[in-house]
Amino acid sequence: VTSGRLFSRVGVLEAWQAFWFREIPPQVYALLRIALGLVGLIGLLALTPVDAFWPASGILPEPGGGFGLRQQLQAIGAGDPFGYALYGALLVSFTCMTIGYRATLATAAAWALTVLQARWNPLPLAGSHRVLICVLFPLLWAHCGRVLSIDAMRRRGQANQDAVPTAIWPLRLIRFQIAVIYLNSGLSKLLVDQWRDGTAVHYAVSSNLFHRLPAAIPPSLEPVATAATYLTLVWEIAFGVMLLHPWTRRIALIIGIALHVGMGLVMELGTFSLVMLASYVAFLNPERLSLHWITALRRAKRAATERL
Amino acid sequence: VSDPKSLFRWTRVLGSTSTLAHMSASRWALSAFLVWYIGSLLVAAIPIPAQIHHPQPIAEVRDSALSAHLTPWLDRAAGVVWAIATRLSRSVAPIRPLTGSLLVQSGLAQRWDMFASPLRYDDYLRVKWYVSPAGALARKASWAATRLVLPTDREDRVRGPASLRSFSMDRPLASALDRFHPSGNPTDTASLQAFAEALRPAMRYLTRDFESQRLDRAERVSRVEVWHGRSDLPPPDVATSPRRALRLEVLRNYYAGAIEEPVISALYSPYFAVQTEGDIVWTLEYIEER
Repeated sequence: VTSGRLFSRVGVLEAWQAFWFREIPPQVYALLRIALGLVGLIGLLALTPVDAFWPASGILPEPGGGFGLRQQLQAIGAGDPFGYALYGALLVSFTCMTIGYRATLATAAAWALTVLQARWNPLPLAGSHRVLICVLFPLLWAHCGRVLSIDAMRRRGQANQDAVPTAIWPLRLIRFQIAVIYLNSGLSKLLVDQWRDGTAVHYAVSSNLFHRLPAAIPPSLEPVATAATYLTLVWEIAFGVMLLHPWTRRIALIIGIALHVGMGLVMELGTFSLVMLASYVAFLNPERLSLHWITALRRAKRAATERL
Repeated sequence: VSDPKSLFRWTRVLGSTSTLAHMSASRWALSAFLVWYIGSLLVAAIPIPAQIHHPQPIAEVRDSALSAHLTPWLDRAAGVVWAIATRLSRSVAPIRPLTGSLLVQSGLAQRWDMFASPLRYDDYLRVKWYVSPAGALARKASWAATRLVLPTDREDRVRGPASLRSFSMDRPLASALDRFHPSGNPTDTASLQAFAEALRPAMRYLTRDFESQRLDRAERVSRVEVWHGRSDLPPPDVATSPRRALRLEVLRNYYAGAIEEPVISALYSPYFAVQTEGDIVWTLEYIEER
């Protein structure tokens, strides 16, 4: 769209279409599916022993509220089987999602069951579960099983699925969702004293519920904790704006990876760091990723042929 | 929106037919969904006025060059954000019902203030089970066992990947403390009841676990007490070694397993009874007679 036409009605419409409906290669969705599927499986592993968090006799809220599902199931004595079945169904759907067996259906099932899980037993769940639900939702609408999947292997001999493009809007929604998460989280933090006086990371890393390392932060490292507090605050608030330019986007993502890896190493936050890092796949350039993917495939084929 | 013909007529009002020719009906429908979805995310992300806490300027700026420079700026920024957020929250109140309910029901509600308020103290929970003979009518217990249940992992060791499961075990207890911690006033029965309801599922599970592991058929748990321990976290730049060493010594007693003791007195502790161990102050906040 030329700058002269951009603000005309036609120009706005074209820009809108180019932004939301441009077609992209499918590899990025396949990687997202695999990454989020693995995070889902790790999340299920974290919710064991199964008898603690899934059957009605485990650590579940008292019946009442919501849709009344728990109450009705417990009334007919089906609370325990339902809990175990839900765990099994989640395990199957995340496994199918990861390996790409009926990928679209598996992703839809994983999302629906993850929502149901939060209704069935929210007690052991943390913010990472909400992030997973919100990131899985746009992925439902993407064709995420066209490559890197059992579905693709079964379709071998048909049209070359690597070349079949898919719409960009689910990817845009995931990116938007991540930006909203950070902006909201950053602004909430700004209203809290510990983030403004620079002590938040000190307290978060020292908390007995979260810290991984038994030793307290040595005084010589306190300036690092203070700097990390302010860096986190500014980065979270600026993340969405930084996505707008390729250079600042790269900086925002590098800082994000560093902070989530750092958080995961010094604090036990469940699958939070993992799900955030998995969602960063959405920020990869789909065309460049596809090019790398096809080049790597060709090289592998050539090497195999030479070996033969 | 589902009917392309009506959509076509509708869009003619808004733009020329040449504009419409550039976008298919399905794309118009999808565009409407995208606008609604993004609008809903944004509206849902704005907290309701009661959830927006008014920030007060930091009274005493820390002895850190970075904090000295940034804290006054951030105080001013927080004031601006608070004013905007409060106004926005009131402005979007009428459209919340249009957007909120569906997002909440579909699990897409947007509350992202996790880790916003790091605690300035460490929390602990220990459970004391009083054991009586199974057939005895009197509530008098013969022995009791105390176990530290929060946090699940030891504090004196590195928490590796296995602690992922402990995190899930800690969550129900930690969120009960976070959301329903009683006020400390024995006459405030409502807050005590809410806290008890939040803790009960975990207590039911832990008690069953204790009964299956430790009791024989001739015994039963007649009373469950939950003592909440709290210990202030030292602020940055304050030496922690002596306090920490003392606390770890206290905690190691619990790490060895449930502490069993005979019950001599028939008198039980009342709500909000206090005990001190090292720098941990324990308060009795949950009682269940069985």
